[in-house]
Amino acid sequence: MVRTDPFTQCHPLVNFAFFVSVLGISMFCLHPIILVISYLSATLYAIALKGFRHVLTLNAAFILPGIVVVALINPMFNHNGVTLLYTFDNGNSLTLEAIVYGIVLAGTLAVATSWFVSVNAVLTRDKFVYAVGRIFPTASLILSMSFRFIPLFIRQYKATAVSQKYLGSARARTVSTGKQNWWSGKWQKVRTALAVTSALFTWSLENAIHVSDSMKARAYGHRRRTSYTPYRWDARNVGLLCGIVVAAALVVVSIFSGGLESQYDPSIAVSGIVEINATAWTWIGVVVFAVFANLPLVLRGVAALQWRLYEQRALSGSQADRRLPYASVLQKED
Amino acid sequence: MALISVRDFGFAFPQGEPLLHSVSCDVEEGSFTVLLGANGSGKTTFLKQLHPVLADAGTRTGSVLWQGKPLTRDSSAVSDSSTAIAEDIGFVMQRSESQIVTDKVWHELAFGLENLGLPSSEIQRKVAEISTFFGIQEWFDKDVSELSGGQKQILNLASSMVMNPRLLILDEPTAQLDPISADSFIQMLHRLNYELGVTILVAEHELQKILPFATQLLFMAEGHIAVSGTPQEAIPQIMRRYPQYAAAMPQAAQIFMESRTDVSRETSAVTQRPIPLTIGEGQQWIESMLGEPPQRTQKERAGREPAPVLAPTLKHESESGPVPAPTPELSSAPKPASGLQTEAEEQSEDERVTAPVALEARNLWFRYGAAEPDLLRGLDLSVRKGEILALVGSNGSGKSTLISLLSGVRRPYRGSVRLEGKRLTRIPEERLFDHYLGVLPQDPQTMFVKSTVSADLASVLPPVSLVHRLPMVDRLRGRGNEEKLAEREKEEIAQGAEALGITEVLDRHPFDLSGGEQQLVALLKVLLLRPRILLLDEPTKGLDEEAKKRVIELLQLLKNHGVTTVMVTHDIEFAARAADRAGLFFNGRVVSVEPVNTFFSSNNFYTTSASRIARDWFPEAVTKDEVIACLKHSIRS
Repeated sequence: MVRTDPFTQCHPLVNFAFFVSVLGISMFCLHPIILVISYLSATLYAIALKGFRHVLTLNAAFILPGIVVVALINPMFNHNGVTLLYTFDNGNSLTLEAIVYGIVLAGTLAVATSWFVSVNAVLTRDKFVYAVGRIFPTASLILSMSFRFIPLFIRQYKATAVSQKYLGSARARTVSTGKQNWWSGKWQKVRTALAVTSALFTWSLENAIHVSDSMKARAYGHRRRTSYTPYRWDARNVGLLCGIVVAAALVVVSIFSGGLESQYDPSIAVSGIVEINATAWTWIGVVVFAVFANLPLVLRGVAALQWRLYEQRALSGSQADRRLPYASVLQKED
Repeated sequence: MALISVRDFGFAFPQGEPLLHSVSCDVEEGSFTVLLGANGSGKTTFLKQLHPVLADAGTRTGSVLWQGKPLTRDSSAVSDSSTAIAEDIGFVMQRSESQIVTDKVWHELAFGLENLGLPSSEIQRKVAEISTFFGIQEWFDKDVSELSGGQKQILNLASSMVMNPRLLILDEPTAQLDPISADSFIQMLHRLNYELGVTILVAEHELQKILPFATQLLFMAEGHIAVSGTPQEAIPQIMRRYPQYAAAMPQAAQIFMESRTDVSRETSAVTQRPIPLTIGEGQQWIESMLGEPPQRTQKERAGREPAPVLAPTLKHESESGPVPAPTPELSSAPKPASGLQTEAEEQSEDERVTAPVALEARNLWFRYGAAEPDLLRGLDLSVRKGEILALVGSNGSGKSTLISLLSGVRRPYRGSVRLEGKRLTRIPEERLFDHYLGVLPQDPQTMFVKSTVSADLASVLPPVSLVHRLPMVDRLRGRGNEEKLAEREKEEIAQGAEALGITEVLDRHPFDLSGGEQQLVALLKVLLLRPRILLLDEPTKGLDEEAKKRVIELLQLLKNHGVTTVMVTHDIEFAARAADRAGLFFNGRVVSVEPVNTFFSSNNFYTTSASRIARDWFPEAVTKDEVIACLKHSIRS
């Protein structure tokens, strides 16, 4: 599924721009409609990428309990608000505003968590390394080397721990009794841990020497480096990036012009729902965001449609192509 | 003009003995040169000295000329000339793992070109080209941590080749690989040499596979190039002048040289033949002496039954039986193989069957995760006390997993492992690895925790307890106890080191040793625990022939003291020489566990080269010594 996702195939800059703006808008504009749209789009895209079961598990095991906890905790510590519902014995008050705000906060949490499923799937490690490299050129090599070293180190750590286990508890036995007492057992554990740590330290240094030899053997440090990337920056990506920028700009304008106003303290005021009337900007903001947040799914749909058209054309084309291209030339010669 | 010519070259590390002296050799453009030498003979140091940037600091004498111009050490490569030379020489090292710099295959391939400052479009073309040549497309987008050992080494080769060097230097590139990966790696070297004309200089232990492609052989001993020439010229010279290295030569050549003394009396014509190097040449040579093989007409029978006339020699003289003292004298050698199958042999066969079972696995099932495929599928295995069992099989078949299950590090999800009749899970861990079960893991580096070899080895010996280290207790109990123990420790280590031939490395840092030396130190460390059951994972990785011989002697000695050994190995020749029984690990089970001679003589593909050479005449002879004994026997009679 992920393999043919057109958004995943886009240039990392497009991916980055999209996620940063969607997450940014959802986090800073706490308008409930925006949050709901954002959550739904995130969930749909996550289902498309990872499958229904994965998303369901995530929602049931992580997001739902998170929502409940945040929604409950906020009114317990936050006592601001004008609508008093109940006064506790210690003088603290339970307010409607605090409860609503808790639910909104829980909503942003759910939105962020849901988007990160797709972020993880789309922004693979090498895209991340690339994006960092655009900003700090030397950092990308360091990052890449770290991503190489970390799994290697973990593997070496596990292997060393097992080997030391094989070498066993010879150390723990005392010469005089041949028996083991509780303290020597504990002492042994600490010693083994220290030994493994120091062995790994030595191993890391040793490994670093080999890596540096290998780098030197391949002309590292002789000249100014260039940085190769397998990503292509083409017209399609330019178009998408422009689209993302325009859409994000429209939503931001809508927020600043008060079209997506939301206030939870001291009293609740949400444009289009409570207190404030919806303006034209409210509708522009909501519609643009609804389309924008579903961009990856739109791209998927377009790609599927294009493929179907392509197949049809290819099928009808193959009929037409029965005639050889040079058939007309041959006829002329006759 | 030679690409590299070395004249009277000498090298010593700062404040060190001269390691190389009066080294002279030429590497011609377009040649395929194989550098041969024992573990720790200075091969690596020499090869690094040929690379201006990798050369270690130290005192250099004599000259190294790169196309007639002097090649000097320049670790920072400031001068243009040394930069240019460095870019013309590709270098591939032994450990495939630690040469990889980046996390992605494509990035690793592009790394060198990025360093050269090439524009993206050019890098793209070169990377594409090299991936196609090396067949990397399928794993081009992968993480390097997902690759197999063989793929990693191919990647190292490719990422050196992408810079289009004229000379490729490789330091034991296949020492850490299984035979099939090693084969395809060597084939790749041959293609580079044959199709692209890249000059190749490669240090190797395993001559059998690389020799058919070699145009020049350099033999390094005692710090200089002792013999050089074409394989045909060099091999007889090496075997005559350095008989201790003869075991590293191709089996055909060894059989030829060792049986020739007898043969020459009979047929002088035979000796004038050029020395056979490959299996086919070996077969032709035997045919020229013995005529058409007796079995060729009745091939169906050739499998299991021994040849009617020539009963093969079998190596296990009966000298086993319980020896009471738990201290084996590590330095004494077991009796060499001799004679034909005797009553004694049959007796020991009986003994083996009646000996108690030391290690047993019943119906083992194992996988790494619920969604992963089963690696072990109902594996059964039973090893009797004092037996040496070798399991051979291809990579990734789960051999190392089996070791971790037999040693209790991992547990099967079905089935059980029993040690001397006791369930493994019932034995507490501190008892399990205490004079009981000894395990040699795959990577010897994971065994080392101290900064010198001798300290590291001493760390596994029964220690002087903490209480004994307090001065007041010493005074109460009287001094001397500690010294006595220290004395004993030293003696034991020295004995073991001598038996394995690693006495010289005792004062060095374990990480500074060559791969083979590390392997031997790790083995000794396990043996110092005095295990009754020994599990070895690839014990011969990186070992030269001399070291293998010592390990075999040691294993035989331990066997005579009732130690049971189970090893998983790729090294078929080693398994045939060292083991009593062998089994093929396949599809999660051990199939066809048989006495080694039966096992290898009935295998058609997974068998020793000696057996491949001589199986038509002596179907049950599987090691070189057995073939030689049979040859001598049949020529005399």
